[in-house]
Amino acid sequence: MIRIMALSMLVAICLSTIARADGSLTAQQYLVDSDLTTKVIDSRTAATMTLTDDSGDVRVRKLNIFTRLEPDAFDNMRLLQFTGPADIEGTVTLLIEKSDGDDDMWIYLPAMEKVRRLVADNKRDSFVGSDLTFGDIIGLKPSEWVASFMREDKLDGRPVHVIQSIPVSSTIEEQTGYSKRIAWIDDQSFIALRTDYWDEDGNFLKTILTDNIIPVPGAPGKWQFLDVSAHNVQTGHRTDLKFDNYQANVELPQRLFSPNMLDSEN
Amino acid sequence: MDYSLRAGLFTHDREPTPGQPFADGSIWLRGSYEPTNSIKVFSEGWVSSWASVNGVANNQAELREAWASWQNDNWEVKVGRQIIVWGRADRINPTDQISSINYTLMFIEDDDQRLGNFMAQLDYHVGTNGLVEAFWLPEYRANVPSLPIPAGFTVNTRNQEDWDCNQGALRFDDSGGVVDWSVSYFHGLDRNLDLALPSQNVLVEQHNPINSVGADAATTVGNFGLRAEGVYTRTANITGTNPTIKHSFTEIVAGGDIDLTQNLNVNLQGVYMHVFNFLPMASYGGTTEQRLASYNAILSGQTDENKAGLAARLAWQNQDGSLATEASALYFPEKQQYIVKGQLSYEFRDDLWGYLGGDLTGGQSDSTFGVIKETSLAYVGVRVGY
Repeated sequence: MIRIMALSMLVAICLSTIARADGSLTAQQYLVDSDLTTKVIDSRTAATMTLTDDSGDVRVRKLNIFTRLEPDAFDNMRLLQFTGPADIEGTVTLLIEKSDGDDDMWIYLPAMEKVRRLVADNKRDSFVGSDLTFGDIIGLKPSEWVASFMREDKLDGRPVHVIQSIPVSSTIEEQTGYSKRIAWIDDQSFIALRTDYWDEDGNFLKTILTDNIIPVPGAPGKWQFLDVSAHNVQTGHRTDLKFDNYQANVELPQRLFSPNMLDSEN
Repeated sequence: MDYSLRAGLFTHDREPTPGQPFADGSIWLRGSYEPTNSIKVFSEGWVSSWASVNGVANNQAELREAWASWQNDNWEVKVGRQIIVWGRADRINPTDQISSINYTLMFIEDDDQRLGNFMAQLDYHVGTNGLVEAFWLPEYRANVPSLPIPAGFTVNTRNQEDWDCNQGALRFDDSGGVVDWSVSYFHGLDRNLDLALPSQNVLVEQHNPINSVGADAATTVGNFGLRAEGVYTRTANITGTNPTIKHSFTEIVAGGDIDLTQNLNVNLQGVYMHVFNFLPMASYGGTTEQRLASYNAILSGQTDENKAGLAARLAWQNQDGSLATEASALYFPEKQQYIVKGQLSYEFRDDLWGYLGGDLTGGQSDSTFGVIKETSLAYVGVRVGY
């Protein structure tokens, strides 16, 4: 089993790093560009998250999302502040991407009046009961995945490149909870319009769709999706996330993304 | 404005005396107002009514928090009754010196037992990760423990609340680096009681001045979360010969947690306490002084010069977090004393939860947990709203 995985990875690495004969992007570069396309200096948005279980019961969460790039212009910081419903109002999660190591995560729970630091292993955990994991929210690092071309295609009329990626190690597979991803990456925006995920046992797990893609005002070459939909085929659960009033380049202070600001009152 | 209705049926109240099954219901209200981006006003309180099966009933009310805050780029000022919780260790926080807890309140969640104190807080942000916090705490509210009364004695002056302008605290916190850490200092009245004996057979609750220096830290190493916390508290019992005041002591908690499976978290911590100027009970002259010193030692956990124990917590929840269960235990081999807690909760919908659980306390009859074993109980409860 280990030999098969190693051989598969070797083949995938070779395919992904060989420059294409026509000079276009490699599969690995597609992953990198897809990761970078939504990263802007900073941004803020309100969001509504609707959770629907297999029996049709619906729960709604409202939150504010703030992002800011680290000075390296690659690692992103995300602050998610819940504003409803009343039982989770005031809960704040801070996710800081670290390309040279494990990502950092903190959570503030108003009932306990304390900030708690979480471990990297928590990335595979569900984000507030949704079909998105903490890792999905932070973003999966391209360097931790080996990409390969599957084909060129069209999705909803948009030209895409279909890219398959597998974790570089069993550690990454364990941390993320995914053994494989297939992404339909839009040729224009590099946003993954659709991504299918397989769990550690190799079973098909879920599909994440993005929609309502806009160019980011004031940030040439940057794009943002305003609708996200995740459907877990194993549980029948569905998560819909809609962004409202997305704004970029709003000069958010670096200090906003410090753990000792999570319990700040404003 | 948000509301919450909370109710529970208990097999026993939280006083260490033979009691009756017990029902408690409370209404919680909270509201906030933000006239500008930098100003916020917040208030929360509750009204509770309880009754036992033998007809004993009572009502209580609490203004838990009522404060106003102002914030700009580097400064934040917050004035009013507040709940401030210190300490990065898991559930056992020896540096948590400036908040008050009423352990006898019949609420299902331990955090609901916290009481606010009026204070003025001034924060200054240093760089990106640093924070200096300064507190002036004019209002003093004692912790309210489950207090077993020795045979032949009565206790006066319980649940002390007062105003003492000579209380202050300082804390520096650095979070966001490889290690999150803080150091703190508190000067004021001990929220935990000592007992004095001004007259024969009448014990008086008193709260003596203390100075505490504390520190805590948290980090992650691979899949492990590591936390540590410690405090040195200097009491007014300088030589250790005063039977009415607890000894100076140091308490350290250290440990870590890991997810064994995706939804199961295990937390283990060691707890250690050292008592300074410890004296065997026989060192106190007179039978009455010995009994008083012994009783104070039991209440403050100072029956041995060194005490070490182990705390464990298991927490599991299902994929969407609607079903959760938690079990925790603290055990000291010294006098075989322990406390075990368990709870099962289910979220029927966003604003409706059901609870089932219990606490079990025990140990030798001359131990801190042993004398309150009558507070062991089971409960079923419900929460509506936030």
